[in-house]
This record gives sequence, structure tokens and C-alpha cells, in this order.
Amino acid sequence: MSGGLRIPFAGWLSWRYAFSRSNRHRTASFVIMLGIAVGMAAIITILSLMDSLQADLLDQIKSVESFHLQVENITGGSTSQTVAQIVEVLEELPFVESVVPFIDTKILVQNRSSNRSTTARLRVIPEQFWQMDTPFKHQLVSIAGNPPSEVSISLGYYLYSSLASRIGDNLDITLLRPGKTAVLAPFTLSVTVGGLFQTGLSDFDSNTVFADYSAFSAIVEADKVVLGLYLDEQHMDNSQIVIKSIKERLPEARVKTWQQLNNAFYSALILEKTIMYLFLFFMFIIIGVNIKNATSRLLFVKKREVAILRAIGAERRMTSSVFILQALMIAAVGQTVGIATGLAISTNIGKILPWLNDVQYHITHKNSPLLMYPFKTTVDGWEILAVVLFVFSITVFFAFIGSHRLLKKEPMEILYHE
Amino acid sequence: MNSNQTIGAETDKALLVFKQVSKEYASGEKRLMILEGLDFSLQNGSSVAITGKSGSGKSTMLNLAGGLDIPTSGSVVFLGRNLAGMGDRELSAFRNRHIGFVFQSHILLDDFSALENVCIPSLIHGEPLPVVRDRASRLLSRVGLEDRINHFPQKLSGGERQRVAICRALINNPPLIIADEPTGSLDEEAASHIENLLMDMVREEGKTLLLVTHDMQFAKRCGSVYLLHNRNIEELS
Repeated sequence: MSGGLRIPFAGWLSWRYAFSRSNRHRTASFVIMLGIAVGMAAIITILSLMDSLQADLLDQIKSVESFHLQVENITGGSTSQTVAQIVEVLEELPFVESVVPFIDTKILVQNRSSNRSTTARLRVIPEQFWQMDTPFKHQLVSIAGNPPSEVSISLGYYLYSSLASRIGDNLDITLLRPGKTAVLAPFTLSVTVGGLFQTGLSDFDSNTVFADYSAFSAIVEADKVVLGLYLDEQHMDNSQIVIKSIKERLPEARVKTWQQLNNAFYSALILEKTIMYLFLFFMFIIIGVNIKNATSRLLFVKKREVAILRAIGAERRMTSSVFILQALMIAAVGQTVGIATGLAISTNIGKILPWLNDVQYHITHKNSPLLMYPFKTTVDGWEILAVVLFVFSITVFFAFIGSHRLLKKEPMEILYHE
Repeated sequence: MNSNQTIGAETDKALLVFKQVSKEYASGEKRLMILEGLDFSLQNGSSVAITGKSGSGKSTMLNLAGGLDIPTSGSVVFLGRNLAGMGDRELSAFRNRHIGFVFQSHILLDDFSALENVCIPSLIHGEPLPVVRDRASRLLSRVGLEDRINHFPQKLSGGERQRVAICRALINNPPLIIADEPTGSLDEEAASHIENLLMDMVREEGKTLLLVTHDMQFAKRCGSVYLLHNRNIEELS
């Protein structure tokens, strides 16, 4: 039977039309391929950077700010169980890595020597927390001094700077606690700055004061004790089963996940990710229009060949498959080059950006904070696969549309217009 | 001439028959009638030349004969089959196996060598490349292009390209060769060479030839000469 869909023959024609050295329009193929490669490399680099930045940020929030879970109202108004006993109960749960009792309260901090003051959050936490192997410890950098103790507190680096304080300075801390004649009354005490820390989460570092639990739990309201839980890898983001187990043991307790505790921030991140996908979608549209125009151009320059092929017996379907295969070949080579380039950039971003910073330093004699930022990248194979499939899909779609329009005409009609 | 009697006679033994064929084209809002109620038949093994003024419908008639176009009314019948009734797959197969086209221009695929151009109709048919390549090489040798088989069309002269086109028309051994002004774009010497080659190969291979030409000397080398005139056809004595 003549003119059937013979992929090897159609592939041979397509390869010639796309890349043959004898092809006068080979430059057009290479330009299209380059466009796809640059688009793919940009998409992969942006995706890997954004994924990594988001993952880092979420990890910092979970590890530093809010723990994986927080359990409030642990005693439920009764005094039958001490905090230490409840901690022991929760530590026995198999998916719980560690349990940390803490109290957060609002304070006013004043440095009389520098005459500066600011509001902050006092986090009262046991001394042994600083020795425990927790995600917090992995994020923490002790810049100077020591962890908080019975006689000293520890400040976040940016708070320390804004108060213009030094290690050994005395700070006045004012907080509200139940009064004798009023519901709440201000209470001021003087504390010594014993150390300063940095976590990478600038909000946390600019408003947090750590104090020792044994020294401060009597001063702040002890019934405000909250338990912070670090969970294992499997349950930290999906903790329903953990919450159920906790509620069985502590029916009066209120359990909040890190997603609930950082609801506004988490929603913003999801929105950011959605906008990023929207942005990528528009990039795809641009690539799609590029492919459509390229296919139309390839078909336009080849319409005389299309008419000849049809005249000597090639079926519409086979002729169409030649041009779809041609577009697919160009897209495949472009995508392969783009993926390789994107992966090379993503995996070497830690070397490329400092190098770019060095180059711009030689020109401007200034460092760029953006280029100096220690970016990390996370390459998600599934995302790349989705992008590849999408590009192939739009390639086939637009190549089909382009060839279908041309092949609707009879061969001689094409030649007449030629 | 417009009669019920089909020109060319003996339609029952005919390779190709035009029955009351009309063809009109739309030109903006106007309809342009090119052929009207044309009857014609072509006997197997014959050679027929069609002449006529520019715009008289010669190429249109060849395109209808080769299944490259469909009539507005009437039928074009090849070996008893109405071409208008065929689907794309069947019509493509018909063109591939039964017709060898030699055009005036637009003749070769630019991205393929002379040998590959000759091979393509057989490759479309699904024949293996080594077999086709041998046959194509022999045909190119017969037309004196054995040293040019790997040359691309841009490196060939007009006459050489037309010789490659004749080989391509013959590669699938079709019964009918349709040639539309095959010497129209060539100089006198090359035109003469192509004329001789075409007539010799058609005769040696026992093919039927349907030729359109302005050149009466060339036309007279065919068994019959017809004139397309006033949207119809008449045989010249």
C-alpha cells in the first residue's frame, strides 16, 4: 500500500528538514532550538531556586519559630499532672522526636546605657534545650557569649543591634503579669545580656529574647506553658495521626500545627508558588507561540516540498507526520540542551553567583547582596518531566495545526500560490 | 468541440477517460470556468500532446488527469476507477503507483541528492532503500547522470534537474507519464536533449504519455496532438 504512515521514512525526511547540512533553512531550526533550550534552562533554574528557597524558609519556620506542633492548655485547668509528667507522656509517642516546654510573652526591653528600647517576645525555655539535638540547634548560630542561664538572657542578633547593647549590659525587661488590684500589672526586672544568636530567620532574630525556664517560669504566668514538639520526617508536615494520639492522652489540650500557627505566612508562600506557576505558564505560552510560529515558518518555507511530496504519492497523514516529527526533533534537541544547561546552572549556582559577584566587584568595587546570598537549589524531577511533556504537547499541537491548514489544500493549489 | 462522442475513441480500452469534465475556479466573487463539458480518452501505450494558449486550461487538464485536482462536474476515470470517488489514501496510492509527473518547474526536493530524489516515490511506497537505490542508480546512469547522483539540485543545471525528474517519474514503473511543459524553462540545446530523452524512455519503457507543450515541433513527435480552445478540446490533424 502506498503512502502509509512509515515512521522510519517520515523520520528520515524530518531529520533532513530539521538538521541536514544541505538544508538551506537549517539556521531557522537552530534558532528555534536555541529558543526552546534557553526557555527550558531558565524554567529549570527558576524552579530549582524557588523550590529550594521555599523549602529552606519553611524549614526555618518549623525549626526555629513554631516547632512542628504546639500543645496548649496542657493541664486543662487541673493540677494532677505536672508539666514534666506531661512531657514524659508525649515523649513516649513513637513519632515524637523531642518535647520542649516554653512560654512566650510580650515584653518591653530597654537598654539604659544606650537609651534605646523596643518591644520584643520573651521565650522562656529550659536550659537543656540548648544541648538537645533538635532542628532548632541545626539552624542556630551562637555569635557570642553563652546560652541563657539563671543569671543571663540571650538576644537575637538584630535585636541586639537595635538596642545597641553589648555582652554584659544590663537590660530592663517589662512584662504584664496578674496584679493584686488590677487584672494585669506591669512588672520590671533587670537582666544581663549573656549571649547573642542568629537563626537565619530575620524576623525571629529581630524580636526574640531567650530566657531560662527555671529562673523565669515563676515570674511569667506558669499556666501559659506550651509544649513545642519536633516530629519525625514522616509526620512533620502531615501530623493528623499525632494530633489524634495527643488528644487521646490530653483531651483538654489544644494542638496547633506549624501550618496553622503560620497561617498567614504559609498562605503567602502558597500564593507565591501559585504566582510562580502562573509566571511559568506564561513562559510556556511564549514557548508555545515560538513553536507555533517556528512550525508555521518551517511549513511555509517547505510548502513547495509538501506539494511535490503529495504529488508523488505521500498521504496527507504522512506529510503531516513529517512536519510534526520535525518539530518534535527540534523540541527534543532544544529541551535536552535546555535541561542539561538548566541542571548545570542549578547544581553550580553556589559557584556561579559568587563568580558573578567577583566580576561585578571588579567593575563597581561593591559586593552585591543578591549575588552573595548563599542560594541553594532543589531539582524536582517530576517538575522537569511535567515541563518536558507540556512542551512536547504544545509542539505536537501547534505543528499539527500548522500542517493541517496547509495540507487541507490540494497539491496544485499549494503550487499555484507558490 | 463539445460532443457526446468521447475524443480519443475506444473508451472501453482507454487508460484514462474524461467524461463531461468541467472545472471552474473562484476568483474573488467571480467564477472562472476553465474547462466545460470536456470529453477525452487516452489509450494505453499512446502518446498525446496537448497545446493551446496560456490560460486555456492545459495544466488544469493534466492536474485532473493526475488526480492532483478534482473536477467541478463530470468524472475522470483511470482504468475504470473514478478518481473523484477516491479518498486521500487511495488517491495518494494511485498517484504513487500509476502516474509519473514531470513538471516544468518546482521539480525536485532541494534537501535531497539526485539519487534520493529519484528514490523517494518508491520509499513512499514502502520499498527497501537498497533495492530502490540500485534501480535509481541504473535510471540515472541511463540519462547520463552517473557522476552526479550525489549532487544536490542547487548544483545541477536545469537540464540535469529535468533528467532527474524524468527518472523520478519512471522509478515506480507507472503506466502513465504526465509532463507539463518539461522543456519550458530550458535553453534550446537542453530542451532538445530532454525531448529526445523523454520520448525515447517513454517508447522503450512502453509508457503512455500525456504531454502539455507550447512547442509544436515537440508536440508533433507524439502520436496525437490536441488543441485546448474555448474551454474544450479538439484533435489537430
